[in-house]
Amino acid sequence: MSRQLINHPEPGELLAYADGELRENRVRGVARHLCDCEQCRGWLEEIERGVAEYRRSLHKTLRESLPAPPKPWFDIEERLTELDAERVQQSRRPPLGSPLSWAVAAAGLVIGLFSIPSLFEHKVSAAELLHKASERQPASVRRRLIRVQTRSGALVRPALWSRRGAAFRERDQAAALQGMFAAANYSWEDPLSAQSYAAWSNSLPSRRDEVNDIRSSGRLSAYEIRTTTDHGELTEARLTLRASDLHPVREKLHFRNQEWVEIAELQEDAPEPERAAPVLTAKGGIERREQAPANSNVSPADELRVWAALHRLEADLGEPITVEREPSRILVSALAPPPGRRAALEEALSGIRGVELRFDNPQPVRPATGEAQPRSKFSAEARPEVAERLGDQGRATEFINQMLESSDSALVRAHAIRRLAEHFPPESEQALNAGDRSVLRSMLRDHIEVLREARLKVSAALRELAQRAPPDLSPPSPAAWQAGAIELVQSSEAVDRLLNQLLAAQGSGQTTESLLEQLKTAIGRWGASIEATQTAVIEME
Amino acid sequence: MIRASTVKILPLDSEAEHLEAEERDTLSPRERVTALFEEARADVYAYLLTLRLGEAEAQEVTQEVFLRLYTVMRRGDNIVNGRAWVFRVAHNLGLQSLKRTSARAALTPELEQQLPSQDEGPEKKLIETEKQARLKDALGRLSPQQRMCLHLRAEGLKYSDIASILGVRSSTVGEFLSRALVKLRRSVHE
Repeated sequence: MSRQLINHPEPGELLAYADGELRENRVRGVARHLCDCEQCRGWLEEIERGVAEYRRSLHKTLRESLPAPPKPWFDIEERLTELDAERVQQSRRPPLGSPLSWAVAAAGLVIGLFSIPSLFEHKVSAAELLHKASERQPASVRRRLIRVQTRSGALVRPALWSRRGAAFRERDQAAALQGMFAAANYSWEDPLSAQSYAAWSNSLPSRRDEVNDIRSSGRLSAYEIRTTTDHGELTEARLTLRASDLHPVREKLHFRNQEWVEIAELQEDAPEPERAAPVLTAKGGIERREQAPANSNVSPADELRVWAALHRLEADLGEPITVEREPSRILVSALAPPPGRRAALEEALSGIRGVELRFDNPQPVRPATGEAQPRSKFSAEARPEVAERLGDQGRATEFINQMLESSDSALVRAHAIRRLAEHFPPESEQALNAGDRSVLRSMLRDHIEVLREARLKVSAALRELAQRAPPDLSPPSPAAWQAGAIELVQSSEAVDRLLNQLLAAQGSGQTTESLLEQLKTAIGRWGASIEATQTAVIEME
Repeated sequence: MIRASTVKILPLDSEAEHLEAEERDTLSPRERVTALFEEARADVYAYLLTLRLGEAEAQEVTQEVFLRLYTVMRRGDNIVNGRAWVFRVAHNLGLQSLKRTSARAALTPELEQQLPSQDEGPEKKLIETEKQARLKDALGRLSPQQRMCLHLRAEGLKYSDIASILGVRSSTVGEFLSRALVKLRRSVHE
């Protein structure tokens, strides 16, 4: 008997062969085997009959027995014509940046100056406003904070946010919101922006846009863009743009399930109080504490002392504190710290040259009704396969909490490294003396230590769940630690996302087996990134 | 002895693909979407029902999918296999829709529950044969993934398309299918 007869192809391979789906390098071998092996041919014939029966069942018995659609199908020709008409309407006006549009704008302005003050204002379209506002959005929005209000509570977060919940310990609330935004195809990372609004509205097959003027003392103070649609999870969205610079300051989203989310800006990069919309000032106040006269230039070394002081307090681990070095001062802004924390920050930063400490006090960050929510642990049911592999639901819940906490702590550390990389790029690092560089290295080592520990825990968990180990990937070629910071954050986030999908999410559409496989790869990438950062930090010596 | 190269148990898609490629070259997005809507809407609707969507929801999602297809085609996206695209988007929208109405317990197709029962008055004319009853029973014993693979394969989708819809690898689709078919054959003929 030939070797091919002894080693029958796997059933999946035979089926793939018959379906024309087999990899090219296996086709010849399977074909030769089938020529010689009556058993496999018989198997295929059996399967053929099975498929035929199934197809008959599907297309006759099943299809005929399924209930008919409750309404007649829509006239697709008609609907496509409507879509085309909407598109033409949206694109009829030239983009705001084009010469023609500026001619129109100039004409409107001239007319407005002399006789009809609001003519041009009223003519502006939603698409134009969004286009222009997108162009004007400042690149640096690190200090921008937003308040996200829902029916059941509120949270304050950075306007640009690539991670889930870690900063403000609001896992459940933030995760639920993130899910709602994802389902609605709306950016949760940057929700209060013209780009995100435009990206969502442009993805809709059809929508209705309108622009309303908001006036204050008779003068145009803001534009409100309102979009309604019959498609997707969002039924209505409103974005308020400040008239003077088209800066987005407020947004309200209505979801199809009757939920709503209101987002308002709390603080901006370059506040100009006389121009700020009421929403910016009505809900909070700002106190300033100047620690030392800012009469001379501050240096990266001064900023490093600020970060080291924050690090000693662990205030660099996701707390809503920002540090900005300007030529003559280092502005440290903390969002509503409790009294004890506030005193500790004041003490830790006192005496550092050029520091200006600022406390921003928005409305209390707690649910609108009921008591404040404690940091809640995972409470939903684990995936049945996960629970089964771990023994029972109780053990699974405990296991999941441990994993998600490890992942949380790793994310916070990865972001801390990224922030240091942003604030101390290679040229700033070079400006530090040996002692200061040693302080920076020590902070980085602390973060890496936690990352490594988290990686070990998650790898062990993978072994427990799937009896498989993540691959040991070679770290990328040596580079400055700053260069790898983004990859470190991204790989940490990838692991975190997969852990969430694997352990907690229901209906993600992916199988446990597939997620475990992806997690294995992601942990390998994560490990390589941690190793690369560690090597680079060692090479700072 | 038969020639192995003649063993073919399911219709290959190459012909359909060839036709579709020709259509891509000659038809406008509007014509392609309209033709596909007429041809595939009942299949997509049936698939969504097996995901346990209600009839109204399933119809709404089906219509939405084709409008989305038109939007992306009009934008210039190159949709190689419109049928597979439609099933993939319908699958995702269907799951989202189910999440919204989370009263339903499972997110998996339950084909066996959709098959007519002998007791159902209006459907009495569809009297099941003994074999069909066995088939129904066997379908009930398949895993949700196996059932979805089988359904999508019977709809003419390629392994890579099914893999993309279900979030698994193409080789896994082959495994799911062959195990499902073996189980079905055993159940029907035992």
